[in-house]
Amino acid sequence: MKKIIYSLRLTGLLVLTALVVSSCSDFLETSPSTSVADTDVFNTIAGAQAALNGSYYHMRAYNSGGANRQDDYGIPSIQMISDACGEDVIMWGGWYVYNYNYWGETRGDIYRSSQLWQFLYRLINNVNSILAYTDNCSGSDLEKQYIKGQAHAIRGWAYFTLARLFQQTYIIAKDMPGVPLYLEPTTDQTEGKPRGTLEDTYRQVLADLTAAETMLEGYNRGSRINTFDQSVVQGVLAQVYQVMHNWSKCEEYAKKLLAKYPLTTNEEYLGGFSDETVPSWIWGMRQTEEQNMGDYSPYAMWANGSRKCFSFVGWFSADKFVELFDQDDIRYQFEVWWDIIYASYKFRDKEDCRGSIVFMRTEEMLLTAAEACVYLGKENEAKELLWSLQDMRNAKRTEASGDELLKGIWLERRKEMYGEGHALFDLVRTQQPLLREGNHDAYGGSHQFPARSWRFIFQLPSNELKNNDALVDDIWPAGDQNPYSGVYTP
Amino acid sequence: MRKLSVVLVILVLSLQFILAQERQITGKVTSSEDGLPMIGVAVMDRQSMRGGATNVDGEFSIRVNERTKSLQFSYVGYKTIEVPITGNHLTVVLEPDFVAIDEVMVVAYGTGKKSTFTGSATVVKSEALEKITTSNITQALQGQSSGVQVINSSGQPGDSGSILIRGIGSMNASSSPLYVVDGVAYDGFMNAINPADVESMTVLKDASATALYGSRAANGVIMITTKKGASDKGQINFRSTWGYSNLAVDLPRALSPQEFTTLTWRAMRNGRLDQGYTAEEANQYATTNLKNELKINPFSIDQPVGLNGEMDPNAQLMYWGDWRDEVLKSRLRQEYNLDFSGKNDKADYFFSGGYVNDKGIFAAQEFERFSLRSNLNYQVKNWLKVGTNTSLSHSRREVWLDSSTIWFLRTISPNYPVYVWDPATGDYQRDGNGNKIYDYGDNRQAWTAWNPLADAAYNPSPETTNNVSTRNYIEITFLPELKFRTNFSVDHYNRTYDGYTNPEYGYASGYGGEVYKESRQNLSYTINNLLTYDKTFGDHRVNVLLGQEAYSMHYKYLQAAKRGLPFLGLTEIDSASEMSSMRSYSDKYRLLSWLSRVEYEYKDRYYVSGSFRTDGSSRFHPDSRWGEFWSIGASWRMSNEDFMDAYHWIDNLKLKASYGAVGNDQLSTYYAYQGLYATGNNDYSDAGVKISRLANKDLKWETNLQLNVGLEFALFNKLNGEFEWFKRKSKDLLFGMPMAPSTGFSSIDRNIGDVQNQGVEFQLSYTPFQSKDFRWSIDLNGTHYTNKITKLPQDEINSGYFKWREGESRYNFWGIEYAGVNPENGRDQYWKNIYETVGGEEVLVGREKTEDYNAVTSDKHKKYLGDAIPKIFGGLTNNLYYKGIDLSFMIYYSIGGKLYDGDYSQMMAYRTGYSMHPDMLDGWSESNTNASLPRISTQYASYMGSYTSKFLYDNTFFRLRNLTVGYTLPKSLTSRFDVNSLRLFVQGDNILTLGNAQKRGTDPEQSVSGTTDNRFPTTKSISFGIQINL
Repeated sequence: MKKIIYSLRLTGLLVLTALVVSSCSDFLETSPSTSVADTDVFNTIAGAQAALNGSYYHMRAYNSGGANRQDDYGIPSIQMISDACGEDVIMWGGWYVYNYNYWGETRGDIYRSSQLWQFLYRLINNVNSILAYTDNCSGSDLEKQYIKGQAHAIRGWAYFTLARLFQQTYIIAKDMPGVPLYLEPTTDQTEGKPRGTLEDTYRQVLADLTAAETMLEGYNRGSRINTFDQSVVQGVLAQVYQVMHNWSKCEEYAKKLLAKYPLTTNEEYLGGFSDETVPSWIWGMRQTEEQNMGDYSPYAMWANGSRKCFSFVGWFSADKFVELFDQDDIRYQFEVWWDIIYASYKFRDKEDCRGSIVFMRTEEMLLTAAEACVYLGKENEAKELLWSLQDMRNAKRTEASGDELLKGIWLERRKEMYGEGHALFDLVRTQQPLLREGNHDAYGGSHQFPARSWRFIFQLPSNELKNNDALVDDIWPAGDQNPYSGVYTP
Repeated sequence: MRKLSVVLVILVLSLQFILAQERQITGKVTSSEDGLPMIGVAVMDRQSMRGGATNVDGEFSIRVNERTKSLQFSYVGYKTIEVPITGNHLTVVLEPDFVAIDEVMVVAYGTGKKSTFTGSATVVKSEALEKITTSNITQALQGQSSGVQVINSSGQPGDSGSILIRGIGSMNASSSPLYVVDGVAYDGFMNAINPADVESMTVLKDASATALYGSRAANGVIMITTKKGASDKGQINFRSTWGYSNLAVDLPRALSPQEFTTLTWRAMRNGRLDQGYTAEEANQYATTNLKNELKINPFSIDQPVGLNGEMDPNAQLMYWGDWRDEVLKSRLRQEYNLDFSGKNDKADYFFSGGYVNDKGIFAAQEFERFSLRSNLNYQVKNWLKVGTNTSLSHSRREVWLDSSTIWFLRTISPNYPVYVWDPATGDYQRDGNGNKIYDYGDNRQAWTAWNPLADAAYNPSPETTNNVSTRNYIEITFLPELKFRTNFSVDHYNRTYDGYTNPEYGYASGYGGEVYKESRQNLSYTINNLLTYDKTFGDHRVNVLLGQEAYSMHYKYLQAAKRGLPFLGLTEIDSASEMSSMRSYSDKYRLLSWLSRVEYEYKDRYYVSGSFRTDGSSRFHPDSRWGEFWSIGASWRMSNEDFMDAYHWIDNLKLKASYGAVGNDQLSTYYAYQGLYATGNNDYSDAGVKISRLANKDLKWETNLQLNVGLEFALFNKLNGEFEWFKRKSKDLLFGMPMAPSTGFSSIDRNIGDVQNQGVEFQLSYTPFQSKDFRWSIDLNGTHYTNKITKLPQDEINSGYFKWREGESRYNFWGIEYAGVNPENGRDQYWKNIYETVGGEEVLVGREKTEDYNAVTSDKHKKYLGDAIPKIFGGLTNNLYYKGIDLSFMIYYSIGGKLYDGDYSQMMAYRTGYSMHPDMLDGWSESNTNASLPRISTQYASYMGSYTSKFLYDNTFFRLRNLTVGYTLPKSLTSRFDVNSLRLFVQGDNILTLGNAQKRGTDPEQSVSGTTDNRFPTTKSISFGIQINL
């Protein structure tokens, strides 16, 4: 009996030990080592800032659109897609060649549309959380205001970009479907939203950007050129008003920036466009040893033999485009290669192959202001602005007036800013046809599409139509999907 | 705790201490086979549960009380008998049990008798396992058990087989069984277990058998039990094998340079014809431009092929690459195992050491393992027993070879030399030591900068694994029928990968080579407390188990790499100059469980069992974390009924049935329910986070409802067998439920699918002869099952080669149906459906052949092409013994089931620079218009190898899995040297394979899904061995 009591004691002890181990209430609580719970992010202002930093990283990160390809790097990829769709570049290799060749890259069942869509909507969901939860953090009101201001700016820019990629330009299509608007963070209960009208989309774009402009008053971003400060917001607003043909606002905002930022000097212009410290850069991104696009940055695509690392030697300049320049224009940086094709020396990488990329610079604002002046009937001022640039670059002045002056300004945009991501957006905004002539033919790119062609507009990803109950999976006007081809008649 | 003590107190109080007079019974046990005394026979007084064993002379002595009427005698392999006590001395004769009805087997949380078991399980013993030469025990299971599908798709030394028990239980989570080693779930690598240490493997197949493993049991359980000391006389065993291997199914023959070159010519010429040129122009074009297409031309003249498409007689072959023979070489496999074992009335022990070194058949393949094991059980007090099973293993593996190497071997052109050729000297280049220099082929049309042989020589990259696995227990016997046991088990492994790419040769020379280090560490432990009560009252027997368990796993990953090595031969990070990557993360996973089981038997005829387990898992949200798993089972041993007495030739007849629910929590991530932000999304040097996962608190396990009905029989003490029918319904399967991508997420995991596996299986053993000198036994098993999707979140889901649809099998191929070669022009044809619009709806009205692949790529021209799951598979084993000579073989068969042979199709189209399958030589041509293969052409090359039913084959095959011939030297001879037994043997593995896959140079064992992936094929081997027992 003693034995039994003794062993019972021992047992009790063992059972107890086991129960202590296992009954610790948090024994079953485990969490990942490289992720944090969503509920823990917005406790402090530093957490909110980290969420904002993540959103900024997303804007240039590999696979941010979920395509898991080397042409899925956020903003720089959108820039390259845009340039690929225009008339000025010949893509004879490297990446984005399918876009250049118009091989169905705007189709809803091809990864590209989904890449652009997901890139922007993931960004929107991230900033929606920042907007929803930052007020819960401990921290100063001003810090919160600056973080939320940047989140508004990002969201406004993202909806603006969606609106430009997935619908005809505002001025002819404001009653057409826009893009689904989400202003709250997504949960597992979130249902898909309808497209609404393009006017709804732009209303949100303006609401976000004007809120951001006010909230970012006094905010100093320091050397972080990739982040939104009040100037970047004003620049985007100038772009938005330009698309909306609100010319007085457009002029006002473009000039705000002209007052703050100098023009790119000729010396700077010829410097290779890879240095973010050039004072005319309003918005752009750096590449660093840790965060870079590897051999898939635009510098690795352009053929000019200047890059120290691997280069695809893929992108050249179309002969018809080169012919638009005067030989003494300082921007005439072309050279005939192999007796057949023009290489451009505009974009030259840094020594370490980590050149910075420009998103917005003063010249765009100058030309935008000039365009606004034409529409506002201030042709003289428009010419003054235009000539100041043309004189500096040693180009011939545009003497025409009226429509011709407008076209001169648009042409100057191409000559000044080719390769900076404006081609497709300008084509759609200005309702111009795509007329690829000359030696495009030799490289598979001799396409002609009339103005307002649906081929310039991306279809919504098929998955969106399939899985969003608020959308009708049919081609507009029967449903919510954009036509793949044909011409839009307003 | 309080409840538990109440139970204990009641049990203690209900004890009856009987102080009766005792007496001594002695006796002797002999074998009916040879009349010799038997050592170590268990003698048991079932009344007092007191026991003993016979000594070297077969004698025993045991004290029994007055009430004891009989003694029970049992011995492994012999029939257990109850002998009535008549007088004080007993003479007992034990009969061998060829049908093994009363065998004791390992079951969940304990042992049980096969005769009373209500569930479905198969025991595979060491004798069967050790006939297979393998470094990984999972491979040895193939063909040994019904209901178990083992696919040994890899011939890489040390690799695991992939195992499915009773079909495919999940769509997106794991379908692999749970491995339990010595009673506790195992978290190490399977190849860390020395197969020589394994006493048996028990496959638990239905809910009645597995429900006690709860949330991890849905895909079945494989219980591995290691050896323990069993003989009073100490035993020393030594076993060693030496052997060589080769591919079981050889890769397709490589084309000769002449064949490759003329085929290339033909492709170019036909391509030109297809572009509309005349025959003359096309011939001229091909002859002239052939050297550009080849880029590397090993012939002495610029135009090696003439206008007629034949080799120019003046074309001398200067060099070529015999890649196959250079890369694949049969090399030695050697294995040594030594163990010591024994027992006395207080302790038993088993110590073993093993070494295996398998150099495989590829230049840099190697698997080397050192292993040690000690299994010890000790009766400290008569109420206290402790024990430990501890094993250590250290292994090293070269892992250079991967699927791209096999792809390379299949498609490398013979025109590309292995070593650098110097056209100036007309000989191979040599380095300072006179050795040939590896050619990385920077100018090749395909496989530029590749040379697996050079990589193997220059870039040794071993993977080293250390594994410690220990199982320990304390067992307290309060009363003979009441026991308490605490188990504490730890599995730990540390796997390091020392990747190295040299700075001088090959693709990494541009950045000075790379050192890449990776470490994976895992520590997991399980603690459980089990209380068992086992009591027989008259005709009734009750067995109750109560238990509690906690499991914890902690995994750590660390990786770093640097580039830029100044010299050859430096392989550590410190020597390199530039950081290229650095990562670390860790994972934790925990389970907390309560478990119970009740078994009841009446008159040794009726058995009922029920079990219940509840698991809390860290993988799920606190609100849906606890799952309940249960089973009920019953069996009726008809043969023990009185009315069966007349049929004395029926040794056993048993009907059984069970039903229960088990779970599967093996989702792809450990934190599926949590809303998460991923770190590392930094804005340059400012730390940043990004949304990575939506909170998903309703996510839970997949549940499996399993029904099993079976019949077991044993007749004439010669034939025994079992038929079983099962139905497994997996529900709440995990699927990614699509979300509108504009929400920022494209899908969210939900438990919304059902799939059902249903089948029959049988196992038969027949012993035609059994005597001392001649023994013969035959085993046959087979399994047939079907898989059916019964619920999906969408009507249809396209998943690679398959389309999931309710009512269809998970692995039913979906695609374009091939319509053969058009004899008129040699082009591939496909079936195209013709639709008509009737009343606004498209109606299928017929079909036609088309040569346009693009016309049939949409779903409406595709169809189901066949299921990858075989109709029936199993094994046939024969064991023969005659006067010291033993012979055994096992044939594994798999009948039906489709294989999409992508390994073949990749060689069945022309692609610049890639070699082709020799079958391409027999393609359609103007002089061979009846060909079954199309005409080679550069124009249609991209369609010729595309996925259609063209390369989908019936994958019936037979494999001579094993053939062993052994000779045991006569005891009269060996005993002179104090040797108990000495056996010499020759063992052949996979030496013969039949089936259509091997005609294409493809191994039939590929994957459950019936698809290929350039896997390193299974090997065949011949080994010689010696086995000594002292």
